[in-house]
Amino acid sequence: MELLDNLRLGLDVSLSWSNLLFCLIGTLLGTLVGVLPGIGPATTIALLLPLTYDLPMVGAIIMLAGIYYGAQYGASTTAILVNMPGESSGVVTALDGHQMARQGRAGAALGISAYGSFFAGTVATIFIATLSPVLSDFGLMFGPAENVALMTLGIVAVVIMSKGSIINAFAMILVGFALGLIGTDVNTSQARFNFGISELRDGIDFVPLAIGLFGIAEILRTLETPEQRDVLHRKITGLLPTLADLKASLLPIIRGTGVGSILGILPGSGTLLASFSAYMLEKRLAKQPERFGNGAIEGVAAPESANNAAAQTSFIPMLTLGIPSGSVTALMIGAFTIHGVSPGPQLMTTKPDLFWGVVSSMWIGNIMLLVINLPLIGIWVRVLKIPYRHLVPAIILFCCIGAYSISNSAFDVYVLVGAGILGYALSRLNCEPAPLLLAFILGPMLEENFRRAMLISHGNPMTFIEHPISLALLLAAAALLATGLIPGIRRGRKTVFAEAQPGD
Amino acid sequence: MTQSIRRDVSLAFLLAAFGLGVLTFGADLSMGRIDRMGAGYVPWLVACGILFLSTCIGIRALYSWRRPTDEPSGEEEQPPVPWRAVISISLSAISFALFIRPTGLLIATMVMVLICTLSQAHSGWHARLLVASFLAALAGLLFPVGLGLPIALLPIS
Repeated sequence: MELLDNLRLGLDVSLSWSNLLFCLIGTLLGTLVGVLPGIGPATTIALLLPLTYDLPMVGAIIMLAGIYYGAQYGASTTAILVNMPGESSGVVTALDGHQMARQGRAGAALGISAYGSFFAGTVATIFIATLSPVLSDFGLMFGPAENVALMTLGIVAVVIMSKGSIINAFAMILVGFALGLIGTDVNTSQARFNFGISELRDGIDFVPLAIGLFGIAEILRTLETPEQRDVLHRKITGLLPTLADLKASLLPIIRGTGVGSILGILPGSGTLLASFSAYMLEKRLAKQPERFGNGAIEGVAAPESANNAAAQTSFIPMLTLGIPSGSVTALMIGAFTIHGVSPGPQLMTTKPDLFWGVVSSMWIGNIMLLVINLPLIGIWVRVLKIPYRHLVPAIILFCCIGAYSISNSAFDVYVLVGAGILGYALSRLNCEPAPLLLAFILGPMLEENFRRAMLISHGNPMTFIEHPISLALLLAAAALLATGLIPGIRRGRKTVFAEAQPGD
Repeated sequence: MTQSIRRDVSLAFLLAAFGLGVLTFGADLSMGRIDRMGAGYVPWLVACGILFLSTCIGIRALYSWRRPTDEPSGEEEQPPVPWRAVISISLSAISFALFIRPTGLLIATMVMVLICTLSQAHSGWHARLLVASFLAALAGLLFPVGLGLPIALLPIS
């Protein structure tokens, strides 16, 4: 069976000593970052991007991917122990997980969340392996018109799933577009918006923009409120959940995995939506819904499985179609570009070792997280005790060095500062940075495909409707936009994001 | 005026300024025709879009002002801007950019960390110098030596 052959090829690649090491570094770093508030996987990946120049490509991607799903593990640890999730998706786990910890059942909560995440990771890997070839084949049929329609759909999805007002998100998209226009026009070689600065001839480098928008802005946001943490001082005994716990968690884990796997593929949905949806589903299906919020183990099992599944399946659109589904995958596209590979439908056929190596490494990473993390919980808890303000200079230093080292240019550090202030200002004005970064990356691709489509069709805008695939994608985008604007759903969006307020 | 209306007005103004900027600085780019778009076509479209959205946000602010709704959205309460942190962090990064080429990594790091820790009111100068030296040494070991990045440690004479 082709699937087994592919997985075997992948395992050959991912089981090499150096790739295993990269996987280990990625997952451990991801866990650390998930534990610490104020710095997330997106920032860490952005920071590490310049350093991956010198690393082998497969290893670099494996490491960066490990950071993402590793962060979900780390976030659940702090969510359960300290009620302060380091990542937004941990917010849902904290609802029942921390209550369980207060009842002395922290061990069971941590154990179930680890097992659930592992199960979800395994299923998600199989899901990716089976679905990706289908999507890739499909993507190979795309011409410029279809690409435009697909990217439009992706943009609309990200906008709908953003926190806050849809108009603000669209504005961010356009601003990101505009920033991506800076540089030299590919078709006519005319300089655009350079202001005579020679460093701008190739446009703004996306790494300092990303680090500034996510890293520095996030630090400033975290510094708005003085920190208060109450670390549980009780010793954690017994990491084995009881048999009753396991029985009660089985179906929630399966359901959570399903919810997360499907939601993860949708651009823009992210791990928070997946864990929240899984939680609400369990609550609705439970025989005694009042238990939720008071230490119901289903309230830990389902969201944890969902967010891990979603983190992994969010790689599908990026690996198969070259479309980022969120800030992390947008940054991963950057990582590919740094190594001269453009992700898209042809990736699977031109570089199967890279593709299947990364997919199989996700499963290996899950094993590592399961085996290594549970014993290391004591260390993570101690890390949490470091006051945030001591970490700030170090993080800023890494940001500066990261930005500078791309082309040994001080200009990139100025871009970093500008992006940081911009990102912080935008967040004060209720605007999200993620759509901006996404549009910055997609913009040039979108413009090129748009111009080519117009060239081929001799200026006929109906070409997007005449091509059936393009029409279908645009209709889906329109439908998605319409659903986002319906009042009932708008209120629903507000609730989801309002619930996510603490520590987000 | 509530906080959220003020935010919307600021956003509308900023977006309008940005959109006008794109139009102004893109004015000398050739537009071309729709089937052979010049360098200026898409920027013009984007600028128009930004100006349109800026108007929408302005209208939204006006609407909220004229009809104060009684639904207390969670967006109202925002903590105050931590100006000390914003300024010290920005200045520290800028100083890094200024110092890195002329003086090398070690000195640039020390200056940067010293300025950055100015936001922590209660640390004494001894503590700051200690942290700065520690981080400079760490950075020097990690980046040029450990990871092989081509960054000069000391001033290029």
